[in-house]
Amino acid sequence: MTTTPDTGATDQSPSLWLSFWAILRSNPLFRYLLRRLGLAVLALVGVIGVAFFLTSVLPGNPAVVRAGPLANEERIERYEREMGLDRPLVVQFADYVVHLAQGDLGESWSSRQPAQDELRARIPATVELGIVAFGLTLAISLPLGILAAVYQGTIIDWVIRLFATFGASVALFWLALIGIHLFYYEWDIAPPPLDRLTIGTEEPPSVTGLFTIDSLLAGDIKTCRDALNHLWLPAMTLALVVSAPMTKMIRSAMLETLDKDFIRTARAVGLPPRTIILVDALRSAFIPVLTTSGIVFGYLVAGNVIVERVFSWAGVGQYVWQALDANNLNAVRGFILLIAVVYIVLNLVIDLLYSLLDPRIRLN
Amino acid sequence: MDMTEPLLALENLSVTITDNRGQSKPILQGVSFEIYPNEVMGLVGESGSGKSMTALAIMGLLPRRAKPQSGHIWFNGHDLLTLSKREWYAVRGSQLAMIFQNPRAALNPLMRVGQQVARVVRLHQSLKKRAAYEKALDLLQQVGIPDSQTRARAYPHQLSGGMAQRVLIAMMLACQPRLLIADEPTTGLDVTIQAQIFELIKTIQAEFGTTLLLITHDLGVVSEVCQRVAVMQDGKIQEVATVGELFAHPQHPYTQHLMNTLLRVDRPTNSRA
Amino acid sequence: MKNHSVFLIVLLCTVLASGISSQVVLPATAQEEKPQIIIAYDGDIDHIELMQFRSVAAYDATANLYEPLITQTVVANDSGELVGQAEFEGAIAESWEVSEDGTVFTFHLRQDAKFADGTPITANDYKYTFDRAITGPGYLALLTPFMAIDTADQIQVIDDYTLQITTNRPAALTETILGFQVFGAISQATASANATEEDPWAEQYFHQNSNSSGPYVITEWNQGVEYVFEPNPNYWRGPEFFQNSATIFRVVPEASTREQLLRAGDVDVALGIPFSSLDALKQDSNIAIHAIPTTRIYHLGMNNNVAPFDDVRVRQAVSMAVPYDAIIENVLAGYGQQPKSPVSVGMEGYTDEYWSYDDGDLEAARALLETAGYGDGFEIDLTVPQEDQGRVDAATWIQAGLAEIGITVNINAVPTAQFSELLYSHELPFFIEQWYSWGNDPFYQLTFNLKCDAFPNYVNYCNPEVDALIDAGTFSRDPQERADLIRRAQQIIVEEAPWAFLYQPDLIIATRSNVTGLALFNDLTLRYAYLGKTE
Repeated sequence: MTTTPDTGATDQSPSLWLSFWAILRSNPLFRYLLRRLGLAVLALVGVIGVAFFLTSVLPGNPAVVRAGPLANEERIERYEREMGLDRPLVVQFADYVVHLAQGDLGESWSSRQPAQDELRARIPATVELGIVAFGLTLAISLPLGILAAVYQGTIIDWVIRLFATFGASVALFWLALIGIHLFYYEWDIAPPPLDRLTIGTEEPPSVTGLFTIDSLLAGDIKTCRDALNHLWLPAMTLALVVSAPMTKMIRSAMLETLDKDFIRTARAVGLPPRTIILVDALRSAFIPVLTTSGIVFGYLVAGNVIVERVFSWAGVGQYVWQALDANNLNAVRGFILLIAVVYIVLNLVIDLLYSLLDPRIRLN
Repeated sequence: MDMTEPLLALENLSVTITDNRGQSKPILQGVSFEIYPNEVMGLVGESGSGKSMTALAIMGLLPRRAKPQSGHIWFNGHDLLTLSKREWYAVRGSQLAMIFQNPRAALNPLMRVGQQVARVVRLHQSLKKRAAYEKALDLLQQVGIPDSQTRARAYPHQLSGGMAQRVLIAMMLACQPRLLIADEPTTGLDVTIQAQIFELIKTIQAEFGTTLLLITHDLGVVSEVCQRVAVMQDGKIQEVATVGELFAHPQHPYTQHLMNTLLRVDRPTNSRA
Repeated sequence: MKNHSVFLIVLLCTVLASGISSQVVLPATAQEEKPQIIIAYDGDIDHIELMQFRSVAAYDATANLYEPLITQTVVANDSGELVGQAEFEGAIAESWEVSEDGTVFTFHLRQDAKFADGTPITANDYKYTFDRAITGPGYLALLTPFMAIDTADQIQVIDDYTLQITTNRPAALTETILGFQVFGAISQATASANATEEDPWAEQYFHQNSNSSGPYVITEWNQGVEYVFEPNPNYWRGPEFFQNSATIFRVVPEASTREQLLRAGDVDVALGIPFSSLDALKQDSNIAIHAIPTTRIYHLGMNNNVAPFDDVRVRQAVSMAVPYDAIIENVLAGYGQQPKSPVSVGMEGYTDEYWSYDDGDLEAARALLETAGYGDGFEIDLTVPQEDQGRVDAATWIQAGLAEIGITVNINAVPTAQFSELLYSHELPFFIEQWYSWGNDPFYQLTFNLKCDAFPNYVNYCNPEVDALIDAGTFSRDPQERADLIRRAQQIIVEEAPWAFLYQPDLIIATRSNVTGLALFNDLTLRYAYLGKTE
């Protein structure tokens, strides 16, 4: 067997890769992430299929919507051809998947713009509102849930549970309107419920798309304040409603934890109640709370149609609402995919957080 | 028996518990006994007899639904039942401490055991963080944990039950309490480990002069470790006697019954050597 | 954990404090005297391609971006609104002549008229625009027949500033249709520069861009949020024509929010205010409610091909039993009128003299059903689009009214998209539909709705005599002849009752009371340039 210098070199690099791969594979975190990624891809494929076929059977013909009231058969047929609706559904699906693989969600049939561009333009508004609302939710429900658990059975517990029941039964729409009426119209401490910035304010140069952060990055405190000013009322509205289940959840998780043996130990050795509640109990209670938090956070960043409508907040919730109304299927499908991705990522993050918070949980 | 002032005296203690439907029933009725400094007192009875409730009452850790109705718990000249929440935190740990059955569940599952011991050290011995940790390692070594440096970094679920109980004992040592209550400290541990734990408790008791209230259903252990013993049934003390008296002449029919049932269990005698 | 809770509390305080801090104020524009006008729209602009169907709000946008050859004159009515008239004046065309027989139109274009990019607007651009309308992808080929124009070569460029349009025959609506915003000038140069092989008419470009020939240009395009319309510096009427320095289009989807914004004075004009809110808003002296009667007509469609509505007596009985007054009183809160013919009230030639279905004549209705063989009544689904609350409410009144004569009505409210699809199948037996004629002309209205082969004739009404009357009127330029024709057409149609004529709601525009110059043409779009403010 004759060897050329060439084969020696090419021999080496795959073995290098292989050993690199072997090292990676031996890392449990990497193996875990790899498997989760595989599962995520499977889940996404399922979502794509279900989203496509479910939206396809929605009543209404998008070509009819495009034709408008001055329609006739010939024009409707032409639009069906243009929009590819005249092809068998399976062919449409194959075409959709091929485009999707290239990052193309298809045309938004209302505006004739790429659906992914429109969604991308709407996501930051929803995410920013969702994050602030989530922060407020925690700020409300953590202390309340803890207080209710610690003072179980007292008037404090009773009042907090009343709040939670109220929050669970109040209509979001009504609460948003009341909020606007009081804070904007009557007391003038909230800005006009018109999207994210005061009319005439320049958007900060886009980095994250979140105006609060982008304006700070640009060193523009005034715009940041304006953005916060527009955020707090819609975020508070969402937070008040979402806090109700969160508070209940935190309360019961805390109650359960406070009954645990190790809490009794902590008390038996004389640790101060603040340490016991905030360090021992809360950290343990966080594990069930984390799951609820994931659902709540997902709900908040998936775009809330009601709050977005009432505050003229141009987020994905409103976008998909309009898209549904107009039979704008590519936009609806894109939204569903987005939500699927959000939940898949959230689940992964939560699982990783579990393993960070709880040494008993191993990633495999 | 040294008949000085008792360290702890229960006087006619009655406790009732209220169930979900608001009906209350007594769980302790007129419990009275004393514990003297430096002695090891046993509290025996079948499960449900009120042993653990008595201990929790002494610690001020009764469950929410259980309420003392009458009586006194004298400790150091104070009635513990009259202490405020704030005062309790000065007493627990430094004066009274307690270890529990099921030691792994009694440790915080989310915290490394060394940290758990160290923060008790800091609390009671006002040391800096680093020094407290060093001290905690010492204590872990003292309670017979080999390679304490490494074990201190373990989480409770990574320890055996015996190791976990040693960690708990180390925590109690960090408190340096005047009275230590041990509630079935070896339940669920296998027999060789049980013997080791009792050996440890005995050693510590001898070394630190801690007064010990040992709760158990195991009369064998009582005969081994305790000087005096109280027998409980249905929330009442049936008999208080020295170990010698009790085993020689059990006064109460219930004690006799207990001896018959509990001693019938074959115990490997070599484990108590 | 402790640190985290501190962080959250700080966050909470920051957010709350920021809400209480002073609001950001627009930089003062001292040098500009003309005010900005902010309009709260109930819908968004989907696209601004002039020749494709688009959202209601988008028609407002294009009305201010494209300038036709001629335009409606406006006259102030009693309440101060400027209303488009049937007379026309030159827009990009300075003057025009019509041949004796009404078939040759010669337009003389202004030599100073320019597109927003500064290039002159010439006859070639209009030629291109008409080519695009007739042979291009949009729907305008459905309108050119009203001008008796079939082919693009009927539009001739005489020279750069002279355009000649020759129609096949005299047509009543030639000027009207030419004045539509959708025949506004598109720059041929811009179109060619942006055309591609698969998009020869540069539709993709014009979906979001325009080289404006009209009064405004869009300087900010933020879909779903805001569009800023600023005066087109090259607009032929010049800067003094504009009563505002900019018109800001804000998307405000929720009606209650629009009301609050208007009350607080943060917007000047609010569209899409529900009738039920008007009483309360009227109490506010800073708010003016403009209720403008329109010719938009809602009708109860009865499919002439489907039993039992294939029997004229059933249709007549239904027409008798509908509680018209109650619908206008309750559904429209009184802001509307009842048409008594398929021609809307307010249109040229409208007459109520053939109306014989007086409110509450239930005995006659029952008798008709009896003779038609439905003495025991029947059961029928009434289909309405669920998003239109007015139609859903009207349906319940119709349900109650028809119950009186033994007809059991089941209301079938479906999503709008599905409603359209069902309508377009021409098989829906019983539904509420509406129509608005940009032409504001009875023949235009009937052509679309009740001619045998018209696509929007969803009731499949067919009467050759009516078809002939409609055609004759469409292609007559003699007012007296047209008046006679439409009278006869109304007589037949009212008698044959393919529709029960329900209501014509007023167009409601709420403004701050200092807002002036609400100007509406036949297309009911707002012409921004007239909007101003008094102090």
